[in-house]
Amino acid sequence: MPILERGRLVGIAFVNWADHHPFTEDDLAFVRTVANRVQSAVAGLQAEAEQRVLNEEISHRLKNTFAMVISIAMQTLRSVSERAPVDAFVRRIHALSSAHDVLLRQSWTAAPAKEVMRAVLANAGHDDRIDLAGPELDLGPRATLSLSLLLHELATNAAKYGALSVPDGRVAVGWRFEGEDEGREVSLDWTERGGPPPTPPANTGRKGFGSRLINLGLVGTGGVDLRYPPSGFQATMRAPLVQLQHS
Amino acid sequence: MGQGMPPARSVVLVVEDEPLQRLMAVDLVEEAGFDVVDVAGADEAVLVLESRPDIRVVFTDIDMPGGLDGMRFAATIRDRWPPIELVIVSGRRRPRADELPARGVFFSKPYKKEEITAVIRRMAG
Repeated sequence: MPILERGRLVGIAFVNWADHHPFTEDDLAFVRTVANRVQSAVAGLQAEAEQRVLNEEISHRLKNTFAMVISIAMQTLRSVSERAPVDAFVRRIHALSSAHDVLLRQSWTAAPAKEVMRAVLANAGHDDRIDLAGPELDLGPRATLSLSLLLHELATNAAKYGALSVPDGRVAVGWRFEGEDEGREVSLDWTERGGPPPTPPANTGRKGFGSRLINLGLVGTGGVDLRYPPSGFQATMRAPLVQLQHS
Repeated sequence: MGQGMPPARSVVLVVEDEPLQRLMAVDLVEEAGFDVVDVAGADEAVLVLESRPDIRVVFTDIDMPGGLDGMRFAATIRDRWPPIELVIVSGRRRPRADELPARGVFFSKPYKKEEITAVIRRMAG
């Protein structure tokens, strides 16, 4: 029995009977069903394999593009004597790249929050001093990128002025679900301890890009509360669960 | 630059087919305080290695079109020039430990300048 895929012959089902056997309509229908199921299973596997190859290719190109962006920045900004903004730019690109890495491993659909956080904090070089705790939560592609940039800024600030600026300081990152059904929110706490007492930023002039990134919150719409108790800087960020998962 | 440096500076060979990334790699090696020779591919790199016994470290991208496959190139170096240290970068999946040549250090692209600099200094310093 021939198996066709879009009019093209892709396989033939052979049936052998030990003795002489006239095929009934039922027999033929059965063979046809088996043949079709085998064919769709094979097609599914093929599609998966193709998707994997495609993902790897996209990942490869993306990584190369990030490397190109950094190369262009380094060449373009070579003569700039103030290196801090140049370094900050390159580090942010690395943070973005680490977020894409995690997304790619999940075929761009959703990324486990803990993995995203671990990757971006490892990229910032502080993962051994940041404790992560929270329920399982999958993030959509957009939330993955914005959370990564946000945590990158928080970690950078902690390393400059906060708990990570001294050898014994630590940071706890904890998240939980609040509310029910459609109103369900994710609340994420960043708590520094063991560092110098924080000083709230002076409210003068334009805010730097870093603090603006932080104030954008988990999904770019705010919901950020920053506190400066003597024990260390604290931030609480909230966003609707639906937005975190589907954007 | 150059003042007070010991007379025989270690030489690093940069192998990268993408010109902009090669420029950045060359800058990185020079800023780290080493002399640098740069080529665009494995075949050229082998010619350089045959004529320059002063090369201590090869810093190579392994996603190279045509000629020797990057990993095989790295293995060739380990084979023919055992004392040379290898820094390998790639935008593809991280190779398994048993795929890397002995003492080879791998970095994923985009790599961090400070990390590469530290490794090259350790190897050639």
